[in-house]
Amino acid sequence: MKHEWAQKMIRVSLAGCLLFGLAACKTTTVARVDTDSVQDLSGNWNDTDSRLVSSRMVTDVLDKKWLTTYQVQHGKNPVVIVGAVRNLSHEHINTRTFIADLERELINSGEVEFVASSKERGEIRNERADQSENASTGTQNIAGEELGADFMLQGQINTIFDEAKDTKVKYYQIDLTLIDLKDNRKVWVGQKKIKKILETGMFR
Amino acid sequence: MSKLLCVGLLLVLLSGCASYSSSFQKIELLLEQQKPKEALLELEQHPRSNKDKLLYLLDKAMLQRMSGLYLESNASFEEAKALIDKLQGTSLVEQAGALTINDSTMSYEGDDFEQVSIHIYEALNYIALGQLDEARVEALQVDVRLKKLAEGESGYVEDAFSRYLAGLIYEAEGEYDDAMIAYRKAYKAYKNNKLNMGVPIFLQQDLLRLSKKLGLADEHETFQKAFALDESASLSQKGKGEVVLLLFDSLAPIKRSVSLLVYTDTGIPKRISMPEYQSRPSYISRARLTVGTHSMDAELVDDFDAIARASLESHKPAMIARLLARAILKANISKNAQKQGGELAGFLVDAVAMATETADTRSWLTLPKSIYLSRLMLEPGVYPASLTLFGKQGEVMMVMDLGQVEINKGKKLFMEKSFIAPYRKSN
Repeated sequence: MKHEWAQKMIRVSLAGCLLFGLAACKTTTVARVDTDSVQDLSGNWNDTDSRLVSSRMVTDVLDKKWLTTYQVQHGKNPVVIVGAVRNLSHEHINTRTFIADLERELINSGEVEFVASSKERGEIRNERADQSENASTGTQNIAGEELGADFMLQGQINTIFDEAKDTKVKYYQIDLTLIDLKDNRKVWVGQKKIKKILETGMFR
Repeated sequence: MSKLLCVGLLLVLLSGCASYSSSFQKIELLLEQQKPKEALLELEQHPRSNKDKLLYLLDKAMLQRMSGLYLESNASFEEAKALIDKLQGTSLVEQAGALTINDSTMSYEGDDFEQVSIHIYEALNYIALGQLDEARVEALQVDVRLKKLAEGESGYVEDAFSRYLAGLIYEAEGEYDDAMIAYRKAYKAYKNNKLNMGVPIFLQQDLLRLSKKLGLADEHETFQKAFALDESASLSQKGKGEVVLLLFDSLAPIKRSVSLLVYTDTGIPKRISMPEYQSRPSYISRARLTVGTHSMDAELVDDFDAIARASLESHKPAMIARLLARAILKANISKNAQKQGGELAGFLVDAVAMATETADTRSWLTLPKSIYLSRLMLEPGVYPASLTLFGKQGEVMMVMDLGQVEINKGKKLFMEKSFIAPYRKSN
């Protein structure tokens, strides 16, 4: 009889431990992963998409003829400014990530020069105005010496989404255009398309 | 006997105690005192349970935008959207809970009109931040959401104001053909709704102006016939700028639990609880926007009170079916208890079953009762602006100062005001 009771007790406490264990197992684990690894969680625009776009655009823009044509004609490297990359898609997409990638690759190639965009310039000009008042004459950078850009990089992201029952199709098209500031000629158009199919389960 | 007690205990433990809507009083009070920041703090100090997470996020986002925290508000809305996506699948555990205990055991997924409203308010946040492209993203998402709702069987297929807002955004972006499509859909939705909302005159003017601009002669003529408007006023847009003012009046209706006793064949009454909407009062009969020397009455463009009621009405058949199924199930449990454990056990289980039978009174409570809109076309310049609110007897109740507004050529200036009047519940 006593033995039976003890057995019952053990069983109950075991079950209790199990419940407790289940309730207490909510801890945060962190794993560092390579930035090139692909993790698709929600199917929305993510770092992988941004990387795919920048790698495609970088190889494309450096390969194409506009660069050598300009260098041969003018005997110097072209100066580029980043304009607006409009997000006309269905998602709130941060376009700055692949633009920054593109900028970095172009500058590091040593064949293209970049000037600060209209947003960045404000701060620089304030600093220059401040220098004219506060910096010693020998170290001052005076106004009116800015480098004018030859090309402007513009672009847009467009999407087509379709959805029926549990299946979603997401299609992204990213277009970047390099426009000659002198005569509005488009000298380079880069394009990257991404298509995803999402299946959602009935149950959770 | 012990097994039955366990079942009873489980029922008590699983059911939520206070209903959702009654726990909202303090926040409501702070809003009536025009203290959104304090209301936000109050909300953040009392995070909701996991199944009410969506409501928490929606209320938080609303209070954040009322406090002027537009970026934070959008972050909360984005979190809410992700949660809605996650909750789309059916949870078997929750379904079982809803069938045996009550509807509040299900994770709140948001009513159809609430899901659509997320996009409206996120778009308005982006407009307030001056990011029209991002507001446009929301306009596109509304379209996707409504397309999906039209596929379902909920019967909620169009949302007039979100279409109209989308049109305004496209037009502000200079995308006139997209604007025209959105305005058309808004027109159809306003015309076909059963909510006592007419087609706003501003929308009529937009339709006339754009159909002419896009060279849609036949359509223009149809609109001319349908509206009988003085066109000269709506078409003299050249060289002018525009003020678009939105007024959010009061708060959305609140759900109360109403109990009904249903007599089954055994003669023992069964308690069934249904949610019923209780409107919150509005003290405004009309509002008038004044910019410089020009004035324009505001028009009702969105009526959440009516939309919410209509939505609840459309859900009722399914809800009643579920309630009856549950009542029968609970009756069977108590009958079994009586058989196996005697009168007392049957009585106990019955009592528990009745106590756990509460209605699901969850809804997005920080939405406004209604939205009014006014638009004025003006020559570029700086003007003093104000908004006059008229009471139910037509008396001037309040003049809200909108400060100096700068009108730029070809630009739309969006402004918004919210008016939540003090209101004491009688109970």
